[in-house]
Amino acid sequence: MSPEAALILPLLMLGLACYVYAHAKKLAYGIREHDIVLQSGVFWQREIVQPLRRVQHVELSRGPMDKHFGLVKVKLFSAGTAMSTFVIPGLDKDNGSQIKQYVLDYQDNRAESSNGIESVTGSTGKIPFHVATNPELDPPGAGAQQKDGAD
Amino acid sequence: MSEPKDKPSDLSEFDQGESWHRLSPWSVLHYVGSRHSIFTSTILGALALNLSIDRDLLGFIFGAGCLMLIFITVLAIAEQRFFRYHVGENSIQIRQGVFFKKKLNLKFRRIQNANIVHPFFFRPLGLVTLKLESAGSASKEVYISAVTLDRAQSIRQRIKQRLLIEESLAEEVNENELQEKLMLTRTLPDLVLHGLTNNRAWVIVGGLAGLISTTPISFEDIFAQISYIVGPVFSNQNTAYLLALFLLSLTLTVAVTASLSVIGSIVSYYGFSLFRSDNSLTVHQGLFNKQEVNLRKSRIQSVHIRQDWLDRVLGRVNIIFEQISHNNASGQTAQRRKKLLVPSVRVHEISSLLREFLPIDNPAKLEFIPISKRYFYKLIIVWSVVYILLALALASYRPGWSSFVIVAIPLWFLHMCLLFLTWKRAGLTIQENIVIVRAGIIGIDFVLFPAYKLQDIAHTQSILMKKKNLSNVLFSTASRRVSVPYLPTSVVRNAIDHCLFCVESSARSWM
Repeated sequence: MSPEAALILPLLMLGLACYVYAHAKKLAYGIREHDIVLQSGVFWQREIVQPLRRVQHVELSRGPMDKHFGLVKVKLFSAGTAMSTFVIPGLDKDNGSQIKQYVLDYQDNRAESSNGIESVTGSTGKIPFHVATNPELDPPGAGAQQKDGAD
Repeated sequence: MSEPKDKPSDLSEFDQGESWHRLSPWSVLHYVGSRHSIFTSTILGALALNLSIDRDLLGFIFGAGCLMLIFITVLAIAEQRFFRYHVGENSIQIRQGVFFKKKLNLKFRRIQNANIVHPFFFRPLGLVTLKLESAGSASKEVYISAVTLDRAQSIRQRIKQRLLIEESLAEEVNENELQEKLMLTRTLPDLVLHGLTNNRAWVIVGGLAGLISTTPISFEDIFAQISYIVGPVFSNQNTAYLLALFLLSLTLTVAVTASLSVIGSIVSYYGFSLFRSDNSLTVHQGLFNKQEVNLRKSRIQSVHIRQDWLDRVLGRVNIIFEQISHNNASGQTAQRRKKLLVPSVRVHEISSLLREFLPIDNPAKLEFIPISKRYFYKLIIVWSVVYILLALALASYRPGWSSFVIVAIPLWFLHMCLLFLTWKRAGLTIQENIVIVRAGIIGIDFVLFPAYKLQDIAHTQSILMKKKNLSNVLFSTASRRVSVPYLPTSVVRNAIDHCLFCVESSARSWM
């Protein structure tokens, strides 16, 4: 290894570590009555608001690293075109489930308060918060619908 | 082979439940037709390979083509034999698949579009293909091919009626909601105009391709070659001749691609007529494959008014009603299918078309919030750096070319003018809960959608922008994402709050 490389490499790694730290530090989420907000980004700062009314399904996911540290990711899916999956990484396991439950409850409450139009025969109920009583609310894309179709 | 009983428009027939229908043997044509691209691409590929290697292999290519055709046909016959469908009370069930059996239960209310397609090979037979698009993934499209028009229409009618009954529980239904009135037609000259303007990108791409293919790898080579060939004749007008040759080939390729694009436009939009009813739009179009495209208004997510520079010169726009799009592997084709394009709309027709979807007139008359000048400066800096780097690279590569760099300066200036226009066009306004984004360079584009159809909304800014209180805003609807750069942060914050209020306070479904 040339002396320049020996100098530059650790510097680069240090820089990367600093960036990763700053990035993690900047990550923040907020839960409001009707939406969830996610802030991220060091140089380009981004704030996404996901109205809960538009969430189609919610997912808890954890990789091996997450598992080791007792963490969990919450993913919210909406019909916005690809990429717009809303991910909150690095949550406590309990906290993650609470957020998931909050989203589910929000959907359920809304289903109760709206005038249920007609009960749906084909709903499998495999996706826990797939709202079966209001046809308008059925997710058009992934998840529940595909289950219906495959049956 | 049991033919489906084609008793037309007898809806009660479907209610009898257990009857599973087969497709007519003619539907083999549909399955062969749907694979023609594989066939032609194999042939073309083989041909290209062959020409470059050995001309004697023509027989082999022919044989391979025949084999391919036989294979496709056998597959198509198998597919036809394994296909069953059943029209039930609330859904259509499909059983299909040769190697992998597939059962599909397509709920009527999940069906986004029910289109009747008249492929040219079915037209002499008086048969059509009913194409059902679900609101879900593009792969869940169902083709019921080679049925009579009456039957296709009765199935479609049934789907519509079911939907209406469901909706009528929530709202009152007019009797004449199902009645369609002719709203707009497009004549042949309109389509020619559309072909000229709409595929402008292709014209340019074609021109470039022609340029590249007529240009050997090195400019020096072509100079050497051509001066060798024509040198004795045009000893002194060497360069002029070369220039003329170049211009001629360029105009030729542009002319050819333009006429191809005109032909393409006529083929796909021939006899374009738009019908409206209170809750849907229907379009009839197509020269060889006549299509009947049906779009429910509630499923429209956004409207895109598109105007290219040539459109602007001619005073036309294209209006595109966009539905949910899925960016999957077959993203391109899937997206194209989910749109309804009205070609070559005159300016005075814009309002009436827009009013089908949104309570708003021609957005050109509205006042927009302009974006910051800093956006223009940023573009200038970024692009100038690119130009300088390119010029430096070129100059160091071949010192003699430094004179060529002089040519780049007018080019750079032109580019800067276009960037100025880009900056000038960008704008945002929110009127009566409708978000309208303006963009474009010479032609002016608008994207309009009601705020309650938003899926999510994002606010982004770089550190530098933060200092100047500027922000980008990114709207995501189910059909597209639109961003507006370099707006004042307060404007963006207000816009986001307002849109969120629209989404969260309105019980209206975005579907």
